[in-house]
Amino acid sequence: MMRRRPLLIIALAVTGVLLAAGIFMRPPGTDILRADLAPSSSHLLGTTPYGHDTLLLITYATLRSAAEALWATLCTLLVGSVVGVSAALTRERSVDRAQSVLARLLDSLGVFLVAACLAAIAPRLNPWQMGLLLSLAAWPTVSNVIRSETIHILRTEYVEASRAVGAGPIWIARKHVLPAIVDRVLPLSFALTTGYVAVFGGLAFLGVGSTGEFGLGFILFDSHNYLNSTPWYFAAALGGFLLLLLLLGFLELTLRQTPVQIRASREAEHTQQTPRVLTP
Amino acid sequence: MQDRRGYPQGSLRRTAIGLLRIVLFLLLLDLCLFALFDVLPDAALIQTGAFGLDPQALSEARARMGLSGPWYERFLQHWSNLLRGDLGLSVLGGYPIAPVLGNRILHSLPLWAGALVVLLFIPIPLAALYARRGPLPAGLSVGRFTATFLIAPQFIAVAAAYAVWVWMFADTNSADFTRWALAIAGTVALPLGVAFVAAANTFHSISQERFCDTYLAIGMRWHSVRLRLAKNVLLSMRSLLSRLTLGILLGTVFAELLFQINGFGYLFVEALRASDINVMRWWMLIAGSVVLIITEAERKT
Repeated sequence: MMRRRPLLIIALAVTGVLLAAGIFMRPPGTDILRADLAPSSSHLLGTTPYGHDTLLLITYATLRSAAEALWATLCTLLVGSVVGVSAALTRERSVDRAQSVLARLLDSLGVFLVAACLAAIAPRLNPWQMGLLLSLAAWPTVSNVIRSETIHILRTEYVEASRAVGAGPIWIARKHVLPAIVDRVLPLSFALTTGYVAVFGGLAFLGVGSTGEFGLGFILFDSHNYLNSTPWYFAAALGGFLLLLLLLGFLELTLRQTPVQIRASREAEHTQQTPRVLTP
Repeated sequence: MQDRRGYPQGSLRRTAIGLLRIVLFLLLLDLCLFALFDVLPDAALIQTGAFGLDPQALSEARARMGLSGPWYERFLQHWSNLLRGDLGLSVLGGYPIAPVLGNRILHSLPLWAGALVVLLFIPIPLAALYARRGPLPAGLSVGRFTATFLIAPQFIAVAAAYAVWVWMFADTNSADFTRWALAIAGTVALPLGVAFVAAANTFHSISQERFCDTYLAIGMRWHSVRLRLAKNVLLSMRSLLSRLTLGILLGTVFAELLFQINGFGYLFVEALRASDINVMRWWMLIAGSVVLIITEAERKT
């Protein structure tokens, strides 16, 4: 699958770089003597009122925001996959119905409001712990997709044919269900990451939780106090946010296929192939 | 005529079942919020961020917040208070919550009214102007692409609106009017973007249908066809209503924070910053109930 999808490799590489850079990069130093400097050749985006180089600060905050959002996305994918597959296997029964009701309730509150309350109740949670907790509120986004895709795949003729020639459930899951789910979930995961960038940014903007002074949202909120004295501080924070969102949006767009396109290509692929397991 | 469950359409029984369902969902929502605010803080893991907190200090803090005693007693107390119209006291200020909530909602009404007017009168006419038959011209495709990306987080839109106000209008005679106008713009930016992209996509797909060919073949002009399609687009956007409502409520939070409006959204920010769980809980219950009722009502129609 990877060989046929170069864009997928690029997307995963970008994700890995963002994650690693966000985790290992250190916050830039501060020097109060060079506060409020206008953009120049030595400081391309000027300096902040606290003496940070604005470009370095925004780069660090952007990478850190991306890494936190990616971590939360990974947690959500894990929880959503477990719930989605369980619901698909027990469809129209208790687990499926319970997940449907819970999903509707969580949907009415929205992830951001739940995140804000969690951050206010437990202000000492760091963004990584928060990401883990948020996956318990955001799983319906993933589980609904996985549930519908799994149910659809298990009903297709080529899966029936595989079963008829003796393919076991693990073979079917590996060869049919997993690739179809990956095709649907990958673009969704970038959309989720965009959403989490917004959630963490929003929390920092409101000043709740421990996203800290280097959160992109906090920098954006803080910079509005200096709109007249250091407008480049605000412009850089806004630009950093928009660039990150554009990058994530572009990755989602390059990977996005409609379910109909995915199913058509997979069915075409499977009708040309004979299952490798032929032991009746 | 009967619906798919065999009840006569529009019957009293059907309406009663729909209402019962909404009430049941509201009860479940309240239970979820109770779990979030009253039960979860009991877990030291959540409240202390997995680092140890003195159990004595924790129990004292819980007693101060009115969280002592078994959880079922607190839940029953909560419901008996609710039925008497008593929403309790704020943990932080000790003031009664009900009158403060009412007062803050009144302060936010102009924002919501403005947002509703914008949502009613801008996205669909704009999408109708944008609608074309056949493949979209490159310029319009770029427009839609950009609009999709401009559905940025709301605090970015609010921050941008605030910057415009500070840079261009703060020192003018119309400062107060433009402050409200830009606060409304910030509040409604995300729902407006979502509604416009959805309406534009719906217009585009409906305009490819064969009945549009028929309209044109019988001599109708394209703008008359678009006028007819607007009704279909409006109906198809019902499913977005709950999302748009949630978007406006969230927008209110950010807009009131930056534009210093002492309304419903700012009350939530105050409660969050002070960890005032009683106010947070009622705020969430009101917001969640509104969204839930709209969702269920839309599903029933």
